Amino acid sequence: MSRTLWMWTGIGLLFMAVAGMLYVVLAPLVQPLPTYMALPNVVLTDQDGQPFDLNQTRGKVVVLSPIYTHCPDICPVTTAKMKLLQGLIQTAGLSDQVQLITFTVDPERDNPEVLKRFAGIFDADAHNWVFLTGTPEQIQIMIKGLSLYVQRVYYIDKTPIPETSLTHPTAGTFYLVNHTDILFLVDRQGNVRALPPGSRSNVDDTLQLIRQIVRQ
Amino acid sequence: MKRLLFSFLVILITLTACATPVPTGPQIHVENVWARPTIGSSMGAGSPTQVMQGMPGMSGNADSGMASAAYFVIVNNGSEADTLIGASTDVAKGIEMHETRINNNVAEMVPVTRLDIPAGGRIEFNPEGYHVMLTGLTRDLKVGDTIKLTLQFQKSGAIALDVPIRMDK
Repeated sequence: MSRTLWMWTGIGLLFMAVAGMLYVVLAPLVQPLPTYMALPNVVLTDQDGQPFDLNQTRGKVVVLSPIYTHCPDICPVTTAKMKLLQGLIQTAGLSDQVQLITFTVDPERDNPEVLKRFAGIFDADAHNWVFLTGTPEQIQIMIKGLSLYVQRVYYIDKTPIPETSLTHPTAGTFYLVNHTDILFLVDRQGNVRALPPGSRSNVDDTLQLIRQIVRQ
Repeated sequence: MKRLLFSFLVILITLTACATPVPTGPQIHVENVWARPTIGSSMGAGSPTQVMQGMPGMSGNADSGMASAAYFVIVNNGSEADTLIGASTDVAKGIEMHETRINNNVAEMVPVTRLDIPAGGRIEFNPEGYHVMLTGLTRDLKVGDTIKLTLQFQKSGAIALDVPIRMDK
C-alpha cells in the first residue's frame, strides 16, 4: 500500500514538473504581445526617389529601424544587425512576409542617394528592405507617431551643444543626433507589437518575436 | 650571532633591491585596429540635388561626407601609465575621441579629451563604446582600403597606424 502511494506521489510530482517546464517554454509563444502604437500614416521616399506609402505594408510584418547616416557608431551596428536579420528571415522562408524598413531621423542630410549608398555598404537586399527619407515634416510625423527621442547636438569648437541650447545660427555646423535605439516590430494590421533593442539586439531573439507576430 | 643576523639582513635587503623592477616607463602597443566603411564627400553622378528636385526640405547636403569610426586596443606593457591625448588623420576634416552611451534606449556620444592607460593595463575602443570619430571624410572608405591614423600619447608621443577598413566581425 505504502509503495503504491509513493509511486503515485512520484508520478504526480513528475507530472507537475513537466507541466511547469512546458509552461515556461510555451507561455511566451502563446501569450499575445501588447499593442504599443499604430504605424504612422505617411508617404515617405525610398532610396530610389520613389514614394513609399507605409500603408502599403499592410498584410506584412514590418521591422522598422530609425537611423541617420552620419552616425559613426550606433546606427552602423543597428544596420549590420538588420542585415543579419534579413539573412535569418530569408533562411526561415519569411522574406515574402516580412518587410524591413530603415528610415532616417535626419532628412536634411539623408536624401535618397545618400541612403542608397548607405544601403550599399551593408549589401542590403532591396527585395524586402527599403531605406526611407522624407521632408522634415514627414519625418516629424514618424518621430511623433513612434514617440522617438531625437535631438541634434551641434559641435562648435569641438564642444557638443544640444540644439535646444543654441543661441546662434547653425548653418554648415556639423551635428550628431541623439536618438532612440530600438526596433519597431509591426503586425500585419499596422500595429507596433514589440520594441526590441536596436544596436544591442540579439537577432535570434528578434527573429523569435517576428515569428510570433507572423503567426498571429 | 648578532653578526650573523646582521649579515643575513644585509643580504636580504640587497636581494630585494635587485628584484625590484627598474621603471621602464610606458610601453604602448596598439592592436586590433580597424575602421568602418563609409561614404565620403564625392557624390559623383546622380547627385542628390537631381534626385530630390521638387521635394522641399530635403536639401541632400552630403558635401561634408558621412562619419566613420576607428577602433583599436591600446596595451601598456610598461611600468608607468600613459595618456591618449589626441588623434589625427589625412582622410577626415574632423577627428574626435568619443564614448557611446545608451541610457533609457537613447544613444548619445560623449566627447573624450584624454584617456589614461594604466601601467600593465589596456583600453579597448569597440563599437558602442570608445571610438575615434572621423567626420567630413574627403573620400569613400571602402572595405579593403587602408587609411593612416596617428594616435598622440602624452609620454610615448605619436604612434602611426595603418587602419584597414572593414565591417564588424
